[in-house]
Amino acid sequence: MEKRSRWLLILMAVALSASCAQLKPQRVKPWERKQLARADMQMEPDPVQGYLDEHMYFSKEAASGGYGVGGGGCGCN
Amino acid sequence: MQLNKKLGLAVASLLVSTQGHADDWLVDSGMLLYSETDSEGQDRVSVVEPVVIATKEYDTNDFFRYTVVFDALTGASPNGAPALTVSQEFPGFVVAAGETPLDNGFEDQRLAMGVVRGKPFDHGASRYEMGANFSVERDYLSLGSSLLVAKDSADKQTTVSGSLGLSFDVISPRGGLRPEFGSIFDTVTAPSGRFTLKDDDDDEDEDGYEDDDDFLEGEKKLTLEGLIGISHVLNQYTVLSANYGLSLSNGYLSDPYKVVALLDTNGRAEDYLWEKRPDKRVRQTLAGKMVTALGEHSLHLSYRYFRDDWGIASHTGDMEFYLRAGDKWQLRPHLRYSRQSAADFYVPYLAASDDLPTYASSDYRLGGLTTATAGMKIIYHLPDDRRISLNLEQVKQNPDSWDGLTLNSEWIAEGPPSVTFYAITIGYRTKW
Repeated sequence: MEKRSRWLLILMAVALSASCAQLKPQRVKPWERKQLARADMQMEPDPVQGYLDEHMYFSKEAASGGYGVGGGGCGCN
Repeated sequence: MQLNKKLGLAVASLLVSTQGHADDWLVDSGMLLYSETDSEGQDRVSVVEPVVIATKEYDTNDFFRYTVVFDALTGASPNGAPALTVSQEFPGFVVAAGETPLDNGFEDQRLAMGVVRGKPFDHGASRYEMGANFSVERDYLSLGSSLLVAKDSADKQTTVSGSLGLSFDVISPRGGLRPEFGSIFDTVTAPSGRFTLKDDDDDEDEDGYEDDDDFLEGEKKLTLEGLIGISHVLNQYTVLSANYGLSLSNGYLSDPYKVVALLDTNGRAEDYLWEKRPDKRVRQTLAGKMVTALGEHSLHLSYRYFRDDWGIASHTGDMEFYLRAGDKWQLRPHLRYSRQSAADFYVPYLAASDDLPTYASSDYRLGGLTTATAGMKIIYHLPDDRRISLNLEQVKQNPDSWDGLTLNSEWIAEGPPSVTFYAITIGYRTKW
């Protein structure tokens, strides 16, 4: 594996383990959703970036999809 | 206690009502500038792609969303043949020894539009989203529709959803349809620099492209997709989601511009055949995502497993970190890593002495491939929920080396060249 790829994987693993402390299940009342309502806390905070990324990787890799259906095909792959 | 609860509810309902700004248009726009270069120093495709997504929200989950995309592509794309120690002759041009053959003069524009109607039902506990879209290029037309139905649990912490998508594509390659495994030498070069089938030049305009009358004539492809998903609010700071997707494609799935080299025992090309992929493909995905708040910052982690019946399996991990820097600035470092295995019918070349296999493609995107991305986005927040952003990404694709070559490996490159691409996106969000 290339050095750079290995660093990417290690960084992701560190981020995942650092966020494990956040994983305690809890009842959440409507007035406790302030953090969850933040723009950066949405599943897709930037739909334009999401669209462009998906299009780019769809045209450069064999794998695609996984997070939604539709969106329109193109001849790039 | 009772008072606390009432106050809380009042605050929550205020939050919800100010969030939507009923009857406003939320307009997200962006412009992508993209260019790529390979490790041989050859420039490849450049793309300019403006996107506008406009949402008119009447109430929570009650909206119309319109998407308009324009794409302008120019440059060169590998035609599938490997770099050889000898020069290679194609109809209309010659590629020097040691260079990966590119299909030059690649040029296309694409216009895509879509609309989604979202509507709540079941007293707001459920919602549906119905969508339709189309995409038009000179050689490609795609029509699609989608339906999503989602239902919240009573405590609103869990949402289950199901989606269906259907798309119908028509592929009408410039210069006419290529017979799969037909020889490239049955073509001549059009004035545009592209290949044309020798007996199919009657209905073309002066650019060597087919007349628009023929647009709907071509090879067809039908894709049916299904996705089931669950998302769960784990606590005040964390949301999790998981999806399983299944997609079935039927029809013409080859790339009409790619060839497979037919090499003799001395590593010289006897012929180049148009590639041939199976006419069916079943794709499955399993994807998980976590979004968690770390104080005023947030972390997005996702992973997707993909496999299809062509023999390709892939693992993709993605990490985005939204970092607040004061009231106005936000930084978003982004890392992505993807590793895919090769399709069963992926070959660097075919040996002229062997029988033709049932399917073959030398498109490096169907080979073993590692893609690594590093990027940084800078977001500046303006008054009234408006914002501008600038995103820079560098992506590096390293195709696996070819192994198990039956030819003398000195006559052929070790593998496809690696590719580096840069993507710059300028974004602007506003409300009307």
